[in-house]
Amino acid sequence: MKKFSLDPNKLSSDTRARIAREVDSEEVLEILSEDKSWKVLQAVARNPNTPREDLDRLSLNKEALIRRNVAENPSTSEETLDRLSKDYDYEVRWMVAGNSRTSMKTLDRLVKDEDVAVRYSASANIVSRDKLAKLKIQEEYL
Amino acid sequence: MKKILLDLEKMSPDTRARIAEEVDSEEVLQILSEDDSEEVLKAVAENPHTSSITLGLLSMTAEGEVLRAIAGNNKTPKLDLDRLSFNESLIRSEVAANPNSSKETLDRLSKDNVDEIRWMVAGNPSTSGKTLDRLAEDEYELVLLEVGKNTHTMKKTLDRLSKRNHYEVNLEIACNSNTSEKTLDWLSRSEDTGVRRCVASNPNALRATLERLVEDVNVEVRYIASATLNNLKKFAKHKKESK
Repeated sequence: MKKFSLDPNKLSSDTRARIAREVDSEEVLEILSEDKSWKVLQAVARNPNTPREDLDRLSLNKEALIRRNVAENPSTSEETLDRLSKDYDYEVRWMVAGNSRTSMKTLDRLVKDEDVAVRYSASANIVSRDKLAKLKIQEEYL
Repeated sequence: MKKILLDLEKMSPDTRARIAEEVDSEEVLQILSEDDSEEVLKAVAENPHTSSITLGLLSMTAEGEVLRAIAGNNKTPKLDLDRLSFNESLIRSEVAANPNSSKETLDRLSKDNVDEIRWMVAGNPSTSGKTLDRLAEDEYELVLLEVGKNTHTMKKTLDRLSKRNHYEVNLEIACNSNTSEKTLDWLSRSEDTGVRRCVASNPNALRATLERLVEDVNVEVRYIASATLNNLKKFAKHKKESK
């Protein structure tokens, strides 16, 4: 089937959000990351194919819902996650605490977070990495 | 915002269907008309921006709901609509309601055994006066209502139909902008207040008819007739001044 180009402004925000969820083209996601609709931005922020620079820009959005999706995205950079780990919204910090890309340094700080869910998630993330590391060592020596 | 380049194979059928529903580019719709999902094809067939050529080509291979949507699209070419008019009743009904159907196709459909199809033909603005004249003798009441409402129905047909004294049909005739002054005058003497009220609001009624209705027994009829007369006077004055 052929590819085609179209003007996203001719489509409803719901359809643009659907596209943003399903597309894997960085170019398309980059364009949609400048959309006016929060629904579209939310879908871009959640898509693992969104370029890091766009995720970084979206992490500064005033909508907590969008920042939460960036914080959960496995493609978000360590630097962006570290910044989001200081967010006032506890759900954003909670998402950072559970993200497999979050650095140990950031997780160490989140273990002392004021919110119990954040602390629990950060601890679980550290423990699961430890277990994974031990498994890898066992596999290497057995 | 810049244009986005989409690879359809990476999109789900639901999303492709949504795009087909909302997009206004003939080129994109032509590409989507080759989709293998029925949901997408239906959305293409329903889209008012799909080109006549795309609809014509799609009508060669489509079936069921897609074919029905093509039959209902105003851009489907007359020849294809004529071909579709030999299909099952649900598709014939869409062709019968389509204003792009030819007078000949509509005339043939006006003799259909299915009441609903004749009903659609009677309401179609492209149906010829001659066909509507024949439909004025139909036995199905809804057909008569549409003939009475259709502004393409000939004056003489409306006049003949009004003599059947069918209340609801006469209501439509009294409101029809193509009804003659003579028929309106006759209807203004109807026992039914609703019919007289419609005549009172019809700007094609004779001045004498409206002046009589200004003294009607019913207050609403009197009020509407006065308003129509006033509007006609204002319009005549405005026309005179602009000259």
